Amino acid sequence: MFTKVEPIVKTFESLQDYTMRDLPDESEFRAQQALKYSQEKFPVWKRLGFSEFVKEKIEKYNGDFLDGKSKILENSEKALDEKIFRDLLGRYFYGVHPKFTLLSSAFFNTGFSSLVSGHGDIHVRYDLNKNPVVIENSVAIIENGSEATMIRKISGSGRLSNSTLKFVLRQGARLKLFNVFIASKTSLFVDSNLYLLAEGADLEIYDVIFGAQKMAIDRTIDLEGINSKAKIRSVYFGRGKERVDLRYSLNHLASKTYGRTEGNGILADEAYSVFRGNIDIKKDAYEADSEEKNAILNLSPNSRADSIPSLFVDNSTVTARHGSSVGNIDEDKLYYLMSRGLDERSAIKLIVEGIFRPVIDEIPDENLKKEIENALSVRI
Amino acid sequence: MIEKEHVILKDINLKRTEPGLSRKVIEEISYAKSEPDWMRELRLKSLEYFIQRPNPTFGVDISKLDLDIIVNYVRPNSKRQNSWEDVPEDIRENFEKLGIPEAERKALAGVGAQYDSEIVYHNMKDYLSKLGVIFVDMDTAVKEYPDLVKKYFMHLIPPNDHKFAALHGAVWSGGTFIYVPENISVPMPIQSYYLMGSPGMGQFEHTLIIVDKGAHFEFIEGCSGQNYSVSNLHAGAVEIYVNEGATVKFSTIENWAKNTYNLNTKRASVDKDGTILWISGTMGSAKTMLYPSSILKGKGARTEYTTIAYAGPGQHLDTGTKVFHFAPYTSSKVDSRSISFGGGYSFYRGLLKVSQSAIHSRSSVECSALMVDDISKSDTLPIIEVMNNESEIGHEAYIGKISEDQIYYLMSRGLTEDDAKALIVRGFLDPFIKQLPFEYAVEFNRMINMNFNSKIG
Amino acid sequence: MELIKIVDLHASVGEKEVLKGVNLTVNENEVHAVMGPNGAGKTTLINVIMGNPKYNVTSGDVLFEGKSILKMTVDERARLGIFQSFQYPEEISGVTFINFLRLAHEKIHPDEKMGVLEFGDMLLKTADFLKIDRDFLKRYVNLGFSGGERKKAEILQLSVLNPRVALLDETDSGLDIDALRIVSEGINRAVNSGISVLLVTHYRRILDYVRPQFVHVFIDGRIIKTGGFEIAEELEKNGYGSVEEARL
Repeated sequence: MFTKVEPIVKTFESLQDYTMRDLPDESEFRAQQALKYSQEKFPVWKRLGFSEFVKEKIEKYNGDFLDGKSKILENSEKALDEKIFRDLLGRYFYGVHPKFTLLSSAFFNTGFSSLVSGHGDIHVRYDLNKNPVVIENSVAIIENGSEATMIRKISGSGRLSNSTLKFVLRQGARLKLFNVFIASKTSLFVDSNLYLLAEGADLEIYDVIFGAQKMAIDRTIDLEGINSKAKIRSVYFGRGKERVDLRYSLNHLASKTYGRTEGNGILADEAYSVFRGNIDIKKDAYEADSEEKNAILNLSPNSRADSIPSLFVDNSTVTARHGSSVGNIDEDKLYYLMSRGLDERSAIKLIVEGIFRPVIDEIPDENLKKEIENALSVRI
Repeated sequence: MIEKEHVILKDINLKRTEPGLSRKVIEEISYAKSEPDWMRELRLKSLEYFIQRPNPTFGVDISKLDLDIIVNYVRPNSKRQNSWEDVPEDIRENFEKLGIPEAERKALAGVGAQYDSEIVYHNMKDYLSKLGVIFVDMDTAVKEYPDLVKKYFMHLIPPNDHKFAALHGAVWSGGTFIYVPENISVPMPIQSYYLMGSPGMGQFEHTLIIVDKGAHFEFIEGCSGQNYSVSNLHAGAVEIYVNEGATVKFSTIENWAKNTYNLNTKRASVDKDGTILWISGTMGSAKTMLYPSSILKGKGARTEYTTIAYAGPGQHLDTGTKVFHFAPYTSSKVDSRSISFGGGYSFYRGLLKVSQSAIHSRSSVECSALMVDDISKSDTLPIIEVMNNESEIGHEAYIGKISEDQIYYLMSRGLTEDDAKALIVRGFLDPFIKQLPFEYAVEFNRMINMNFNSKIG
Repeated sequence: MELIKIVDLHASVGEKEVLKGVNLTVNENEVHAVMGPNGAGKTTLINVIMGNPKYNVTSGDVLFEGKSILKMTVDERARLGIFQSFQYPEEISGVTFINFLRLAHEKIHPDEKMGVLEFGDMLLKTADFLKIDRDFLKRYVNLGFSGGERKKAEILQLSVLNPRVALLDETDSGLDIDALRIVSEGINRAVNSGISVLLVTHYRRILDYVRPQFVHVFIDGRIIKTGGFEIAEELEKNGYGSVEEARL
């Protein structure tokens, strides 16, 4: 009934950009996606300070895919032969911006496609030290009533990491996903994920983020089926001149859907973070329940924290709330710890670790746990 | 102040400019007011900005607002009077029909009343003028206090700030000028009423308040108008300068008719240890965009907001608050609430900026929205930017429905369902209602009762 | 005279049947205690008598002075003279306790026109009797009240609204011994003024202060035994299990 006027996304054209000639092969799929790609311009990201694009050479690269027990797990390149994967790999998705999701669809040099029935256990690793340009296009389908645990790690110092992932959770499916990004020196890091949840599906996302120089993350979760449920925990640590822009969008499209987003950030040096928590509750989402929290610890006088939480509500039978806080370390907490003999540094370390701990504890991989703990202690 | 769909105002003999905006129209306004050249220049410069600037890229849809048919200046056939009895009877009657209380009241230090584009009545208690308090209409101020006006007029809200600030700069008329000297406490509020009585017109009053060091001052503005089938436009501007250690409380009870586009700009700059308190109720208009801003530029400056938006059938109210912490030890507190019912749409838009130098600042923002039924809508979009690590910033928002358990509890005590709803709505808006002068609070309760078919006292 | 008569009452919450054929009559000047374990359906019984729309009556009837009240809304029943006290009363922000009670009193007793001062006076006396801090009448309804304060506030409402019959839901739970004594005095005062009481409780404790003429044992949606005070003592000694076994 009412029109809401919304800002237009500013764009720019890059002198350097990928064209048809950069495609690794002549497949019709890639050609079609590349055509759409060429029609998009790059977005200007004011907060991230992104207004020019450096074209990097895309080499062939195979990530490290460890198959636990999923029914099918293969390289997305090969998966194009199967319609079910091809449709999903080519499905349009806004993500951080279509320019980047289409970059994945057309020019991907890696990615997995997976169909999980029963129990799946998937490990994915990309090493930017081995290959400084990762263009990922991945999809996963979790069948009715099936369960999957997935660990996805991107680490190392590279130039461009751009991923687009789509997850389909069918009726009653469960997915527990860990995204671990440790790529401080990487110039541009973009990660767009789409999650489609059918009735009774249950999603847990854990994002552990140790920056890149410029980082844009989007999680779009469509709660399409009644009683579907998404729980997101995100922890990040920014230092140096790292900038990170995180967007978590929970779209409640059906009744009795449930969403919880909790983001905790720690900023040191001149780091800058933007946390966008969107809750959008549509007309049909009766009795939806959604909550978003974001707390940022600013350790440095030169760091900057933006928080943009939004609630859009079309249905009056719902509960929706958000809370944000930005501050330094709680002095009472610090005093308490120091009264027990800890020096200030150790006390701060303990508090920071306390923020990461609940997420680290969830990770079902001891080596990765250690790696995260190391990354953390290097930064404190 | 209550619903006035069926109020018909007396037709009053008025002089008006031709519809739309042009150099000619502006020259005409300026000439009618026999303004000094610098003001005419400001108007013409503003017109240029207006032509250059695009429409806002957020907020309400104003594509149906045709600025070419809006009449920008309508002058009632009355001079400015210092006695309410001297105001022509038909104008007085029109004020009273709109529920605006009898102007002269003991509890006020001064009263102004604007009909369409001009102030028709202005009066202040004698002892205040002896203390050096200035309270005149804005047009008089331009002539009598040119130095003060030149120094402050449209400096907080420059004409090139946005499209409707530019429009305001070009065609502003009427409004209030207030100066409170150092260390003077004005014990009672001054109040101005604004009324739009003509179809298809725009009202662009300008309020300029300068409160000197250590002074205290309270201002109340009430807005109302008749509902017409054509669109009316309100694009006023309020500029408040709070000097060191001064306190200003600025209350608005806005109830424009439901054909009105209310695109208003309000800004306060606050020096060291100064305080601005905003009380703001948006009940009327078809569409509103209003975000009172506090610029905390002195150490220890403070702002507090108590605001409500009351969006009923056919209303899209896009309101919010903007706070800029530019100095250390500044603090802000926002309590923003909204009700949407009968298909109304309320949108809270907030901006909180804490600069790198604003260390040891504190901010707490709470916004809550109550949706009464299934056809209404409510959104919240705050932006928080914190650029130092020695501030404490908290923001909370909640959107929800009236709980069935609450209704059941009240009904178990004998209240009808309508009464229970009205009581809950009233309770939810209590922080705002508490701040209102008694007459307004009574009117406000009557409005809630009427909207919720309730008769509770 | 017969006040409330419950006839073969069946009721459900959602899909689940909770009341499975309840029969019970409360006459004028009577105190009834309904005792039963958690989850037996005691709170449901009260809500159904009062007309909470969350509960569906599937069959049977509830009569007030011989007339069925099942079609009446909760406020209509309140105005008939039925009062429900809540275990967890709702918080109503922005509405002071005194304004709320005055409004409720006006609705339930429209003929007793009382001035603001007169009403306030009556309220203060009642508050003093229940040892409720006078200040709290100015606070918002149940907002930030402690558990004990809420229970007292419910009994204060009972006194002020002066119904014909009071349905009291676990009024004793969460009270320390002093508060329990005060709340019980409040209930007894209501009983002495001629209000009938249906008191639902898990424990016998409160019955040492408020003496019922009738005790009903309520298990799994039914009254399985009715008698005098001796039943409460028996339950205390042997627990609900014994009664249930006896039934089997």
